[in-house]
Amino acid sequence: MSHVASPGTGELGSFDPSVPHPARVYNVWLDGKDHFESDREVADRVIKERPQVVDGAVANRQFLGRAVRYLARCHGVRQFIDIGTGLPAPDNTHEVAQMVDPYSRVLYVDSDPMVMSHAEALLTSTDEGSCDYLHTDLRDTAYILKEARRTLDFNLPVAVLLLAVLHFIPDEDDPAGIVTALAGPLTAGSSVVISHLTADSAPEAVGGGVAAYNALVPTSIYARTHAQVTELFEDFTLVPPGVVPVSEWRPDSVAKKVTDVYAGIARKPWRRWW
Amino acid sequence: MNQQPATGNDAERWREVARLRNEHTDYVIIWLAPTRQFRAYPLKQARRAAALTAATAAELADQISRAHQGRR
Repeated sequence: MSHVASPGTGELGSFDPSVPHPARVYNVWLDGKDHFESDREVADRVIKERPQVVDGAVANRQFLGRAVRYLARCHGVRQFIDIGTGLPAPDNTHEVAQMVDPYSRVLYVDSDPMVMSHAEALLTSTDEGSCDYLHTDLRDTAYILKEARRTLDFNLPVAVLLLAVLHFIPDEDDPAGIVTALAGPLTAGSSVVISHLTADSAPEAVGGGVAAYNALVPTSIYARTHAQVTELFEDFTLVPPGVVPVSEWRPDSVAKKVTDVYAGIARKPWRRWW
Repeated sequence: MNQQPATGNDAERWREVARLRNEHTDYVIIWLAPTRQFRAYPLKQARRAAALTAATAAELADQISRAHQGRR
């Protein structure tokens, strides 16, 4: 990996509202209020190139809720690491999980100082459960796992949520390796949830949006193909329907079709002893 | 967001947050960059009313210690 930022290295940088940040640009598309002029400029330029980006952001947020509910209800998962949390919005991970079981525990991880400054909205846990917040880069996998152990019990299944975040990792930083590093140590029954930008359905239009984004935001974004996104799940077993357009992953309502984001959930298989 | 937030060199603050996390494992420690404040929440039962706020890491550590003593 070419770059690892962590609190220990001081590479996370300073809070500067004049520099657009992915979490705040995403917040513009979600019609939030926690963004600055620099973020709005990026968001608007991308919308001009690819107006569907707004539907994509909304669909991705809806997928978060469906994924957490699915894992909590259907697989009894009570522990979540939400990496690339983003700014608080309705149905934050702990709210969805603790609606199913108030004993659910969540670790939020993000590198944006704005997210940290809004973290108190992410920390209003039930008395029975708990929420922690970690300010670091997702490449710092060892630090994330070390800090996760103070909130989560690694003898029980954990779901690692990587929604709309791996597309900020270039190939040279080995996104599949990051997934393996985060999920490898987890016990059987644990899960990986991924959503990721793709240009498969509209290479030119999405490519235009990516170019507009990368021209202004220091953290570049990379679209990947269906095969490349599927490879990110490595040795985990994909849950049906597999890697599909985000709006088609077990929809619970009639939603606009979104083709620029793939989504999938995979589980670490239980060992068979016979 | 109309109000222009305060800015500054936060790298040292991130390191102080990481250090305080290690020293006080029963607290969530955050740095509020726009308002230049440290804040700590109990990891369990993290009610907003239970939050501790300080301008420096040392002051926050002192508040956490006093909160511990108050619970004994």
